[in-house]
Amino acid sequence: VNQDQAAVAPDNERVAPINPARLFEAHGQALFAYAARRLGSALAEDIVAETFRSAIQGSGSFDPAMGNERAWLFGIASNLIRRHWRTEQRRLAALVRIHGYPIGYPDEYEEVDGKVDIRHRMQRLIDRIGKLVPEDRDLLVLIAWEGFSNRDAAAALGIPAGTVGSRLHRIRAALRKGETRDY
Amino acid sequence: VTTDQINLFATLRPEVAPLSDDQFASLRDRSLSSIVVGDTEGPMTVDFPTSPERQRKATGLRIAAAVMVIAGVAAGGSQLRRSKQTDPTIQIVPLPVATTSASPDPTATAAPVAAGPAENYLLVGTDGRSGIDADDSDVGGILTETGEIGGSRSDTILVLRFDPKSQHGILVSLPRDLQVTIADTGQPGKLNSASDRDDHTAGVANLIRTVQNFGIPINHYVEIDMNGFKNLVDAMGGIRLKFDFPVRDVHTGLDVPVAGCITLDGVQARQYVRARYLEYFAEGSWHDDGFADFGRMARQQDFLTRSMDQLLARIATDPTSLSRLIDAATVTLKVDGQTDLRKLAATFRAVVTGSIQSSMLPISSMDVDPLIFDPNKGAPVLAAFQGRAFFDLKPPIEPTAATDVSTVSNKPTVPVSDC
Repeated sequence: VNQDQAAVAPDNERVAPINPARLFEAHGQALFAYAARRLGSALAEDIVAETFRSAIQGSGSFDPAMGNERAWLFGIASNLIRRHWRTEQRRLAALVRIHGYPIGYPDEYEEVDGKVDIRHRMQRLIDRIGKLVPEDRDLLVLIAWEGFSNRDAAAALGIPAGTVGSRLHRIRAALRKGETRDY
Repeated sequence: VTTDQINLFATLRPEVAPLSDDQFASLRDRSLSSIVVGDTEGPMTVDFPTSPERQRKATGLRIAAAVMVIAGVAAGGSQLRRSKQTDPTIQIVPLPVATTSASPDPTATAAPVAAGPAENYLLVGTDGRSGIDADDSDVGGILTETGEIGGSRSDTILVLRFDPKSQHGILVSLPRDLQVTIADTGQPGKLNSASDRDDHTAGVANLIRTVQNFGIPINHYVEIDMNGFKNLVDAMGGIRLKFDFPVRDVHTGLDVPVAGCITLDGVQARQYVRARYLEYFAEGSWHDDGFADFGRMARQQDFLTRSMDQLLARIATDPTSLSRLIDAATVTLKVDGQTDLRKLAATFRAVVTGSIQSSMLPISSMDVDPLIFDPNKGAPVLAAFQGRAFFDLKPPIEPTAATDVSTVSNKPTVPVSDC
């Protein structure tokens, strides 16, 4: 049965059916939360608006083979967030100062670390995050805060899925530097 | 003890309050302001059912898809577990019918064999009477939306397109009353009449060719007897639901005389998801829940989610439960001769755990019989299933003021809490 073969057109005819209103309805809140976590809510609104403008105007660039719609939008937003590196770094430091003791910090860490100053450790962690290359920082946030799978994170950042594991390993090592109590 | 630095960082995650409706609308307007008016409903946007009639069918589609997927997992698991096809409860019937071989993806020549190109599966669900016991109080089958009893063979015809690379699937229901050109006669007719041939294999081959002529390439054929539903629920040990009040439906025979966490067996589960006249007992008397079909839709969605969760949780924590499930379930699975059952099982599993978008085929009007395909709204659907377009679907059920499930969920007859 071959009559349908003619119906299969080449890849270059691939079109992206984007309904902007629906796109916003589906992903607006999540994108806002993502940007607000990293940069605060005022800047987050700019990021979201800019993300949708880029997404819709350049929707021809959406390649479903590279991942889902959510990953695509978060990838665009991540690129925009990179411009605000210093803001994000200040915000992370402020998070440590405000909470002092991070929310949801598991008890078992306390037992292991005894009286070690948690705030001091977190401060060191934040300093090291500041030294990560932007791509690694994006990956870290997508995985740790946004709950992205390795596959979706790879799609968002436009990197091969197979390299996410090794990157995370490298990120862990970089963040661990000087943390003698680990391992 | 390892202190994982990524987990440590995760503890810093700040909570962000969701935008209020006003803030959301304002940000939406700002985000979409640069877009030319008239462009917001792009030509490739798929229209979605909003009438209650269509919503009922869409819900039926979801249930049908879920049952097929559960059955597929069970059958695939059986195949993997036993090297020979000796399992009497899973009949695997290879059909000598021709399907399309998957079109090679020129960009993926170096891809691992396991991935391969996206493929279309024609999934046909039948509710023939083999799995219904005569003494079941709800004889008639779960998928008979119109309430007709027995006798008729309700075919559910779905096409699943699954891309092993992205692990995403799209699913479309082809209405059985859809007007198409029947392949062997060349005459217009209803889709389900294509398979109505004296020889079952000839009917299947004709159905496949008819769907292909309609514009959807078919790489694999899978036929599942849906009466596995009751047995599957039973094999899972029932489904636990929390009822805030005693409930009953005198039409389907559902009777839950006490409130609390109740485990529904297969028959009760079928009575529950079919119930359209649910009553709850409060303050000394029975009350109609007043939501009829909308209440049923909400319950079906709730039930579907919970049963899938419970099934997957059970398989995850106790792999042997899958064997028990298979032993108890009566599933007849018919596939085309070229289908690799391992791959089929892997596909069904991925569909269960991954994302899948489902839809009805766009129809120009619901008022005519047979149903007429809407070529304008339907073009993107066909393009997606031909691998020519990315297919982005809205949820099959779009809440409207009258059918907002969250409103219905406030009714006492829809479980809202876990056990």
